[in-house]
Amino acid sequence: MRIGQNPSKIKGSPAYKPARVGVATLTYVPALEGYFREALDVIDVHLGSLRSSLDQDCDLHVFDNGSCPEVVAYLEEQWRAGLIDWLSLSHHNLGKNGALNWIFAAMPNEFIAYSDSDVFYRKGWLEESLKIFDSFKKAGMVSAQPVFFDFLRGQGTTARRISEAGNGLKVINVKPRQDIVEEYCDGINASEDLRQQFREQELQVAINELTGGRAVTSATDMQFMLRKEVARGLVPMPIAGALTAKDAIEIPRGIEDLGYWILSTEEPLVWHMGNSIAGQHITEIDQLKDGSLPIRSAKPSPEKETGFKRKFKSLLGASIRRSPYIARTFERIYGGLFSLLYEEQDSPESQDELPQ
Amino acid sequence: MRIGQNPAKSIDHVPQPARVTIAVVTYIPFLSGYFAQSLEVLKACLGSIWENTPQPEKNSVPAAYDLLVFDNASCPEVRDYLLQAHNQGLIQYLMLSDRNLGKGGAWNTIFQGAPGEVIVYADSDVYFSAGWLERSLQILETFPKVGMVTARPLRTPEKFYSSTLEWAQQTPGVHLEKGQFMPWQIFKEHTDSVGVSVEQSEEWFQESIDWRIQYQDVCAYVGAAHFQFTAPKDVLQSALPFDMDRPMGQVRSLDQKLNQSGFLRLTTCDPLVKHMGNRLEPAQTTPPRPTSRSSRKRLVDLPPIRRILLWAYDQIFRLYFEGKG
Repeated sequence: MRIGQNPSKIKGSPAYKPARVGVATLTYVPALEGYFREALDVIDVHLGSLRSSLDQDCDLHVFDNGSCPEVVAYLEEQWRAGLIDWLSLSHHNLGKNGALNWIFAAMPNEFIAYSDSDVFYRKGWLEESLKIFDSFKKAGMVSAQPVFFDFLRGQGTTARRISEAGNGLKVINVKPRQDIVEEYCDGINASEDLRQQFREQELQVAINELTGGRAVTSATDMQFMLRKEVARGLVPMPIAGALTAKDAIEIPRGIEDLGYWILSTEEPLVWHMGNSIAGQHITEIDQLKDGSLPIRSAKPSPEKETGFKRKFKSLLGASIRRSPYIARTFERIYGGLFSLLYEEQDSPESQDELPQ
Repeated sequence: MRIGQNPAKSIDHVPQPARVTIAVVTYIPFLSGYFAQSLEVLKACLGSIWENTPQPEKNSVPAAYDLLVFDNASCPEVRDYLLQAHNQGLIQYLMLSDRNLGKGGAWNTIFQGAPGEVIVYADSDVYFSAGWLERSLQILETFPKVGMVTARPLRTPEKFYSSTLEWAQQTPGVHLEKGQFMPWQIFKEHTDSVGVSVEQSEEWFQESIDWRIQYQDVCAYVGAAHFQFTAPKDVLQSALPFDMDRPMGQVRSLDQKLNQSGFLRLTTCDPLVKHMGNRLEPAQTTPPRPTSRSSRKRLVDLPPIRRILLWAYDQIFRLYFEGKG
């Protein structure tokens, strides 16, 4: 039976308001062996780089697709420390698109950013991605790395549509810097032939002469950002397997089918770490590990964010909780008041209709 | 850099979600006061699902249902229990929120993301009896344009089921009856669970009536409730989004939206779920009659004193418990 009133129903108790941007990461590490032997380190660097790159509050959603107990325990620890806002644990591997179906359908934020859990984030990726959304109204999927690989195998429509759109929009060919090409190739462990092909390749860059915005006319499912409404329009995506090339093109193709454009930044503001980072002395990873890259701490609670009164209450509450004696006293007073108010009651408070 | 081939790329078959996702939302911020027995109640709720919902043999495909639990920032004891159940494979999808998104926020997430084509929703204080899923699905699959099916008869306000009545009155082959069909004990079992006095309960029982439908040999009562229901996911999605401004109290909009959109809101004719409330074993079977009230109780019930005590109770909750991780 119900005794008393659920404190959550008390007038004015606020629920959490999602941040403007929600970042989602997908993890799948069946065992810390073989291909996945460094996976825990990679995920740790991935999450650290994400926190280090952000200058604004974002909600972080980690979706685990049935990983081994060590990885789940690590994620739980991160979540308990307040470093992950939403942790979804699936007992089975639903496939990447199965997890994305969930993420796209459920995340409440205005923008949803997604990446695989082996991506390193650099400062500015979020701001530059948002700039592209501001500059190109039809931007549907924006990656924070110039994408050389044509996932749509010549069937993409973004560059053509932008060329035909007029209104200050045009597409030009740009030769990318060599270091950008090499980093991209390193990330995917490109063969020498493919590397040579990318070295010679020019990128198609869209320009909006009215806003000054520029963006490469391709994107990757490894890391991208999209608006919530567009994400909702993509689901449910078919699932061919756990991680298939067939599934990978569903997003860019779906975006273009909805009439939007797939775009990416010209500068590489994320890069693909892959499954091995040990012994490589990559400066950014070293900086992250030795602490010279600042990492944002756990998100402050809303009570701590604004207002003297809220701040005071928050500090007072924290002080009370720190002292076991005072904390016990408060719990006793609370329990005593509950008994006094409700245990002997004759009928519930303010009930004017049949309860449901 | 990438070394070798990701073995996940060779997995060409992934388990398909069950047709039915049973979703339970939990919010137990601490284990004292109102929530003192809430963990035990939650265990009874999930235990009754595992025990009384038919599931084919372990690892068989497809499963009859997937269990999804959305935890809205509960205390560590509750999270530990849920994580343990997930690790044992008893909870297929566990969503842990660091913040309380409110029931509306949890619904927004669940109704969009749950993989089943049919969603069963329950508060974490509902007990399920054998047959609840089969009977709920029977109604869902027999009646046209069903919005919600609750697995126990209840009397709910007519303004939330006017579309159901209209359909029943206008559709050939529907046998609609009006009267006192629900036994008093079944009515009282629910009102007891929400702490209503016997007098109040009797008064409501006498004043209200049931609408009972027979359609294609299936019995259902008119009306449904948002503490437990079975619904097609696409119907629930049509009612989204829900207001997230407050943790609770926004859920009536689901009843309103579904009725306004012409969906049927029905219940089973037998009580197959039970609202447990926040106490497993009541101190008394029914709330005490107001015979001789103690002097302390009379004092506490004086409006100014009660207001002060409620204020203090609320302030301690906000100060001490709301910031507790």
